[in-house]
Amino acid sequence: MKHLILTFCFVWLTANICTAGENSSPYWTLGNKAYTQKLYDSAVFYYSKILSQQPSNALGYYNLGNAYYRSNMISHAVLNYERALFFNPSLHIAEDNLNLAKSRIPNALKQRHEIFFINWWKSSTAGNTATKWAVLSLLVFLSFLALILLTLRNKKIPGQVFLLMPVLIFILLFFAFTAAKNAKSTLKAVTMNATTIMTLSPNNYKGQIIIPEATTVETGEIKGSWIAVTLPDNREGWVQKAELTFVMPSIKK
Amino acid sequence: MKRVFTLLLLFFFYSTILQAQNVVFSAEASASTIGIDDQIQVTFSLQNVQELQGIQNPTFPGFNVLAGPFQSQSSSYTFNGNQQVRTSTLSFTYVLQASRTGTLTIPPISAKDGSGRVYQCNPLNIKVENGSLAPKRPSRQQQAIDPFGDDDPFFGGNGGGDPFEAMRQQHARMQQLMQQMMQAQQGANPAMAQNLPEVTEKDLGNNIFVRVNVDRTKVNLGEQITVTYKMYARVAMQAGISKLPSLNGFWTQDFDLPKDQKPQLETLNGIQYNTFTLKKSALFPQQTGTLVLDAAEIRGVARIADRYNPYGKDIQFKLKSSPVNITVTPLPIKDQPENFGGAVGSFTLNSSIDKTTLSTDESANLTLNISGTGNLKLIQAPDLKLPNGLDAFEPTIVDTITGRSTTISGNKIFTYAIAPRIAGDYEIPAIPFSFYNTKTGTYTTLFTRPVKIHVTQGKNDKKDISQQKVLTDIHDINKNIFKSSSNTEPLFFSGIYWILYGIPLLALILFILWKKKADKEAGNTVLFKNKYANKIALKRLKTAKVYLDNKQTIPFYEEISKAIWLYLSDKLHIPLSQLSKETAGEALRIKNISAAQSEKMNRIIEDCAMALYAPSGAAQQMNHTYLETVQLIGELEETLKK
Repeated sequence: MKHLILTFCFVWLTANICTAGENSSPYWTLGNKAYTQKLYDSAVFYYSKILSQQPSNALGYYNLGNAYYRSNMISHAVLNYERALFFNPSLHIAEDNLNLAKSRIPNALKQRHEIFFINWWKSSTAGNTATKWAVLSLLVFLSFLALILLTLRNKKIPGQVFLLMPVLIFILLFFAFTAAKNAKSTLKAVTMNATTIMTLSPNNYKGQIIIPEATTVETGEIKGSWIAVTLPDNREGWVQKAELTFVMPSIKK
Repeated sequence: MKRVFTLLLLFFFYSTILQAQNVVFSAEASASTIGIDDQIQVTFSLQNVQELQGIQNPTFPGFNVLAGPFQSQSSSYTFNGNQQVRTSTLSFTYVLQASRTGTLTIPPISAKDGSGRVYQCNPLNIKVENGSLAPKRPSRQQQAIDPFGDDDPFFGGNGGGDPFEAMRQQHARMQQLMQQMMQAQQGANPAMAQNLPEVTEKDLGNNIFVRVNVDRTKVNLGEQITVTYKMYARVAMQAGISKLPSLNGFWTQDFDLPKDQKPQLETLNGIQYNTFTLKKSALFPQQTGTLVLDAAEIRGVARIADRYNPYGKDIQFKLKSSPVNITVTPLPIKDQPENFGGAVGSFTLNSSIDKTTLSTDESANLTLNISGTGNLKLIQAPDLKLPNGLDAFEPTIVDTITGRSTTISGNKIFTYAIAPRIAGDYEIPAIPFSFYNTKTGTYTTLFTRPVKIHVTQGKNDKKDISQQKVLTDIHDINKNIFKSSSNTEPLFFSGIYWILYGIPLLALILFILWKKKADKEAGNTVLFKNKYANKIALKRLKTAKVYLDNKQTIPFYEEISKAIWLYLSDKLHIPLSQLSKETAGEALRIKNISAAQSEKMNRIIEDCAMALYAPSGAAQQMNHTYLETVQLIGELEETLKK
C-alpha cells in the first residue's frame, strides 16, 4: 500500500511541475504598457497577439477584456471575461468585471434565478471543481480497496458498507465526469451585435424577441444557419449562428 | 506661420514700386443675418498697403472661430491710360459660428504700414437668430438624425472612443478625399487643368506640399492646441496619410472633417493652390517641456505633363510635414486650489441626486456632470466628503465627447453610489471642482449645491458596508510576470488518473490470489506436514532398503525407527520431544486405528530398539522388519487420510 501512495505522490508532483512552466512574453509587457498609457487599441492588439499563441491563457483574456471595456466595446469585453472565466473559473476579478460590464448593457436581460437545486448542481459541477471530484472519488475508491483488504485479514466490517461504497464511488465519478466535461468545453456564446433577433423556430420570423448585445447565451442544437439558444432568463429560441461568438475559442460550428 | 508673414512682407516690399496708392482696409461678412447654427465667413482685406508692419489680431465676441485665419494674397493689373497700375490685396478669412443670438458686433482691427500710418477697418454688425437660415446640406441632416451617431457613447462613433470605428472612418474619409481631389482636379476646375503642362517632375515639390498649422506653439499644460495637416496642390493627384504622427505626450482627439470635403482655393505667395485638410486634431499636452509634433507622411500619385502623352503621366510622390515644436509650460502654482485635478478649459458643473429620502437598505446615486470644453478625458473624480454614517463608493465614470468642430467639448459624468449606514438627517456638503480657465488664465472653483438627505431605518440591518463592496470600476489589468498556461486536460480524462485506479485494484486482486495459494501451502504447516509425511517416510524406507541390501545393520534400524517416529510425529501432530509409545498409542486410538496396527507399530519400534542395542545382524530379521514397516505405514496412511 505504501509504495502505491508513493507512486501517486510522484505522479502528482511531476504533473504539477510540468504545468508550471513560466516564460515572459514581450507582447505582455507591451500590452500592459499600452494599457497604462490609455492606448487601448494598441493594448487590444498586443493581447490578441499573445492569445493567438496561447489560446487558453485566462489572464490574457482578462486583460484583453479590460482593454475592450476601456474602449467601450462592451460585447467584446463580455466575451473575453467569459473566456477568462472558462479557462480559470476561480478568477474572481474577471467575474467582478464581467458583472460590471454587463451592467453597462442597455436593456440587458435579467438573469433569472433558478431553483436552489439546479444552482447547487451548477456550482458543484463547475469546471474548477473537476480536480477535486476526481481526487475525492479516487480516494474513496482506494479506501474501499483498503476495506476489502481488512476483511481478508479477518476484520469484521458491516456488510452494508460493501453496498454503500460502490454507490458512493459511482456518484462521485458522475460528479467528476460532469465537472471535467464542463472544464473541457462550454456551450456558452455571446451576442456581438447591437441587437440580435431570436425566433421561436428556425426560418420562421414569428414571435421575435430582441436580444441586446453582449448577452451570454447557452447554445444547443444546430439546424442549417440557425442555432438553438437559451437566454439568461431561461427563454428558448433560435438565432442565426453568425450573430454569436462562442466563448470557447476553438469551437467551430 | 511667422515665416509666411515674412515672405508676404518681402513680397510687398519688393513690389511697392508698382503699388497703387490708395490703401483700403475693410472687413466683410458673408451675410448680415445668420442663424445660430450657421457658419459665417468674415474677411478682412487690406488693399495696396505698403510695408505692412503689423496687423492686430481680430476678436470675435459672441462667436466661435471654426476655421481660419486663411490668408490669401492677390494682385491685379489695370491700365489707366498709359500707366500700368498694380492693385494688391491681402486678406484674412475666418469662418465663424455664433454662440448666442442677438446683434453681435465684430470690433474693428487696425493695421500699421511701413510709414507708421495706422489703418482701421470698419466694424461689422451681425444679427444672429435662432435655428438655421441656410439650407441644410443633406449630409449634415443625416448626421443629425442618426441615432447611433457620434454622440452615442456605446455604439461606435468617435464619441465612444472606439478605435476601430475611428480608423474605419478615417479610412473612408481618406478614400473620399482622394476621389474628390481627382475629380476636382480633372473636371471641375478647368483653370487648374490649364496649369497641368507647366509642372514637371523636378518642381513637383513646389506644387505639392503639406503644411502643419498649429494655432499656437506655447501653451499651458492641458490647454488645447489645434493642429491641422493641410495639403496644397497645383496638380491633379491622389494622396493619403501613410504614417500618422505619433503625437507622444498628448491626449489627442480628432476633429470631424466634413465627409464630402471640397478642395478650397487658397493663394499662397501669389500662387493659387487647391487645399485639402487631411487631419485636424485637438491636442492636450500631458507633460511640460518641449514636445515635438513629429512628421506625418503622405503618399500619393500625381499627374504631370509629359511630352509623349497628352494626358500626362503619373508619378508617385512621398511628402513629409515638417516637425513642429510645442513648448508646454506648467500651470501657475500661484492660487492653485487644493482640490485641483488637472482640468484645463472651460467647464460648468451640475449635480443631482436621485432621491433625498431613503432607508438604510437603499442607496442613492449622486451624479456630477461636468460639461464644457477642454481636456475632458483627463479630469479626475472630485473628492466627496461625506458626513459620518454615509458611505460612498468609487464613482462610475462615463465621458462622452459631443462637439468636435473647433474645440473639444462634451461631458464627463461621475456617479457616486451613496449608501447610508445609520438612519438620520444628513447634509452632503458642496463638492468643489476646480479647473484652470484658459480664457481668463485663472483658476476657477465651482461648487455643487449641498444636498440634504433623510435616512430612515430599513428592515435589514446592514452588517458591514465595507464587506458588501460594490464595484464601480473594473479591476485593473494583471501586471504580474506573464505566465504561460497550457490547456491541461481535465484529470478525469487523463490516462494517469485511471492508472491510479487500475494499479491498486490489480494489486488487490493479485494479493487475494496469492493469499489464497499461500494459505493452502505455506500458510498451514500442519496440513503441509501431514501431506508430506508419507513421502518422507517412503524416502527413509528407500534408504533403509539400500542399507538392507548392503547388510549394514545399525544404519538400517536407525533409518527405520526415524521413518516411523517422524511419520507419527507429522501425522499425529505431536512434537518429537513429546512422542513416546504411549502418546502415539493414545493418538492412534483417537484416530480410530485398530489395536492390531498399534500392536504392530509397537513391535517394530521394540525390534528396532532391540537391534540397535544388541545387533544380531540376521538378514532375515532385517528383511522382515522392513516389509512390516512398509506395510504399516501403508496401512496407517490409508486410515489417517480418511
